[in-house]
Amino acid sequence: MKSYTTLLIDDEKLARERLKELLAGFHSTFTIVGEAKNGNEAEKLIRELQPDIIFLDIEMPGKNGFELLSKLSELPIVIFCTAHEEYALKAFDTNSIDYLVKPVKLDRLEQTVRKINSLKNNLTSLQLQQVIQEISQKKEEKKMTSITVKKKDKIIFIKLDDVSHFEAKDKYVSIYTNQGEELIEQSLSKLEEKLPEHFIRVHRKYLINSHFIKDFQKYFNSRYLITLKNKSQTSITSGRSYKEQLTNWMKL
Amino acid sequence: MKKLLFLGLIIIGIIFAPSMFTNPRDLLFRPGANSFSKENRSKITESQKWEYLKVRLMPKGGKAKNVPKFQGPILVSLENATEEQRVLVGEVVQEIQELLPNKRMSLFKDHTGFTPQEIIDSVSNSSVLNDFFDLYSESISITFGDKPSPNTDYIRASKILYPRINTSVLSDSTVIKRSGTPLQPVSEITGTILCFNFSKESDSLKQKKYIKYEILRSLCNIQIDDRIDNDISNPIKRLNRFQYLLNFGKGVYGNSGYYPENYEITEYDTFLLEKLYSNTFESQLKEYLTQNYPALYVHNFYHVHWVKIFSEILALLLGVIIFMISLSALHKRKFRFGLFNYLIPILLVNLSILGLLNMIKFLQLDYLMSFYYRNFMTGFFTSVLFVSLLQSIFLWAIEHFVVKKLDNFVFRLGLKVMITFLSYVIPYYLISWFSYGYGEHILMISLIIAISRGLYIYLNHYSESITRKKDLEISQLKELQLATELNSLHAQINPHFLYNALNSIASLSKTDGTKTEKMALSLSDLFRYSVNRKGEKMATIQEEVEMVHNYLQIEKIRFEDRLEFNIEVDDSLEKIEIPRFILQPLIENAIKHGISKIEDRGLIELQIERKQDNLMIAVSDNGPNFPEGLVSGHGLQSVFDLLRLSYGEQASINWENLPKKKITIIIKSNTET
Repeated sequence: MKSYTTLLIDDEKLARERLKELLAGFHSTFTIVGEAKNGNEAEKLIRELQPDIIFLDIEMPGKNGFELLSKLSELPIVIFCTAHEEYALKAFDTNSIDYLVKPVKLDRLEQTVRKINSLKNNLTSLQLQQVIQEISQKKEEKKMTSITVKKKDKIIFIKLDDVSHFEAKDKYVSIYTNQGEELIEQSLSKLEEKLPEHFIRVHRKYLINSHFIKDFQKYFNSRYLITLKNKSQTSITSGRSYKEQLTNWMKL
Repeated sequence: MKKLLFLGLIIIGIIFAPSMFTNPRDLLFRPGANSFSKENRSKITESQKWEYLKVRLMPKGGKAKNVPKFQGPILVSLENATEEQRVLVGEVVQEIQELLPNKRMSLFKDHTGFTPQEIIDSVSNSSVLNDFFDLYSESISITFGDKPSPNTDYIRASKILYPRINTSVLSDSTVIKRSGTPLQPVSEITGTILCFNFSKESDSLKQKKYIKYEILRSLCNIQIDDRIDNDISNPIKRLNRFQYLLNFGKGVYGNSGYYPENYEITEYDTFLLEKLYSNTFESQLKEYLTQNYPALYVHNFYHVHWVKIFSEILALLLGVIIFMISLSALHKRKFRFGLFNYLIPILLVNLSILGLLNMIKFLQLDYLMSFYYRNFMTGFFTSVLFVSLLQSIFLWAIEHFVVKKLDNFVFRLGLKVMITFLSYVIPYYLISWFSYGYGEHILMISLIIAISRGLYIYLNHYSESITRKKDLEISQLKELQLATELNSLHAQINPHFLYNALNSIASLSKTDGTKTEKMALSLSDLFRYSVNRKGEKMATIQEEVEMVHNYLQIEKIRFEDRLEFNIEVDDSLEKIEIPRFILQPLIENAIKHGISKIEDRGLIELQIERKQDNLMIAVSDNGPNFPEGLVSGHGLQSVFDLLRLSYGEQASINWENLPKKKITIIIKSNTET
């Protein structure tokens, strides 16, 4: 059995302690050569010690796990440790890398050990990069649920589920709910990027919440007449250049 | 529907009732007409005589009960009289005295012992004769000559109410001047001025006749009545229907004009005088009227003021009842045929207003003859129906095509009020018979109708919007309540926190047993608080801070040096109640987006204090700034919702990045429990 030099990277001391304890039971497989508590320390130690395996926490302050990996020229075997099980992908079953959910359990660790021993070193950096990208994207998809509007001396929180549409006016953008209208400073394009998928841009001036679409009629010139099911039954005519977005939504 | 019918019955009842209880013709045309029925015409009955008295002494319509007459003794004072003339007058006075058994009547000198001249001369000298002066000033003063003696200036009547002297030139060229009947109503007769300038042709018999006539006329004020007064010297004049009362014409009091040459002292005249100057005149009159006239007439005669009040209050009461019934019948009712929405209310309003006004006028015996005389039923109803139809078409058309298009509620309201007003005022000016004699009220009535309608629409709208708002609030509250309940089942605390905490406990258990125990107990306290089995909505600041403290301590074990915290709460504020779970999301947010993102030491500060009477809760940390615009996670949203539902506009939340990253809740003081 081969022994692998191992580096533990986690910002929480207790987590590192626990892992150390568990790994002590597999001392023939793992030789712990060091611990790092943030991305910078980890980078330094990896370059210095060149470990075979790293146990890597994803959520760390400063540089998170992914950012660290992108900085490395040579990638060791990576075993992700994190409290967020939603990042687990089926891909990990394909033996390339592993993914441990905290709190780490002994029997799960055993499984990892077995995997490592049967690892084929055909791990290409490209594959790894891809998987990492997928995970990091999924992570970034933090679902936005509210939008804040700054008023004179207070802030209003508006649930995105209550928003029927946005309209761009001269200098500001108006956000409309059944309670009324508020002004926000972000531009429609920026909002379009950050808002969840069910918000569609139908016009240069309009961004609507598709959950509020009541009626949808074909209009002249590749346009559509959309009626919203808000209190004032707003009618919006779409712009020609945004036809595609609407037809895409329709297909869903 | 039943209510409407009932309503209709009431209104029709009001309109018809007057004619059911009395024959208006009796009241209008021939009060006391029975007195002049065919059988009675040939003889002179008591009631005929009363009628004579009533018509002559009381103004038309019979509303004044105070009949003027001489109050004290009736004295006739002579000036410039020859002895012969004195004797003549003395005889006349004697004869008239016989007609007035209850009244003292005599020549002035005989009664007082002085002549008027003496009285007047002595006034300046001594006060002894002052009483006699008063007697003089209220006497019938007769001057023989071509004009009244200057002494007559002292006659009281001359000063006040007799602006001109009435002159008659008789066929024998005798000229009689008199002060006549006053132009305004008086309460008593205070003297008369007479002046006789007999022609050479008149003999003493004629002169005596003239004198007697004039004195008799001075004893009472005869009212002018077109129905009866007729120039009897002109027989060519068309006879009116009352001419069968010709019996009257001949008497002294038969005509309000002065005809001293051709008269007779009829039975009517003597009756009149006797009754007028009897001690029980008032009660006798009342008895006559009560027996021969309808009660309505008598009441109006004696209690005009009360009848007015009664009729107006009755109309008001009926009006209110009608209004309430029609409101409950028509409120929120939409007829299928759009026009009816206007026609029915307008008909109700028009019929009730006209009916009630008519009732008032009827009770006060004040109405146009034409209203009842002509064929009132069909005319009245068809014309009201016709005009109401026009009004409703007008209103319906304008409101349907113009008003509905407007968005602004205030404009719609104003326009509706204005055209309602116009719909009443325009017909009045275009169709004169629509007014039915109520024209003087039309502007006021139209205004009241228009404004009432406006008020009704406004109040309806207002109450509807309040109801809607309340419904919305209720459903929002229900939603929040449901969400809170669900949340509390799963414990409001982020599950990840639980995982991390348990992970930490698992690790600690190997190394530090005491700490492990402490942490496990803190966690259990935290969960007991968050489960909130009793479902309480508020907690004291002390309780909330304690929970936050627990939370932070648990997290500190995970983060160690990377988390420091500092809690400052004013002692005086600890018992104050705030919404439950309002602090924890702020702290959680500070850790999730603040502390966990920085490598070095993180510091979270919670500060609760009172500033300018407002409660201020501030959480600050030294992590990355608050985001612009979009936020993820429900923590802060739920804090915002909780504040809004607990305090409405009285609480607010704000955050800033400079000078220090801080999120603050301000709760205004008057909402503290």
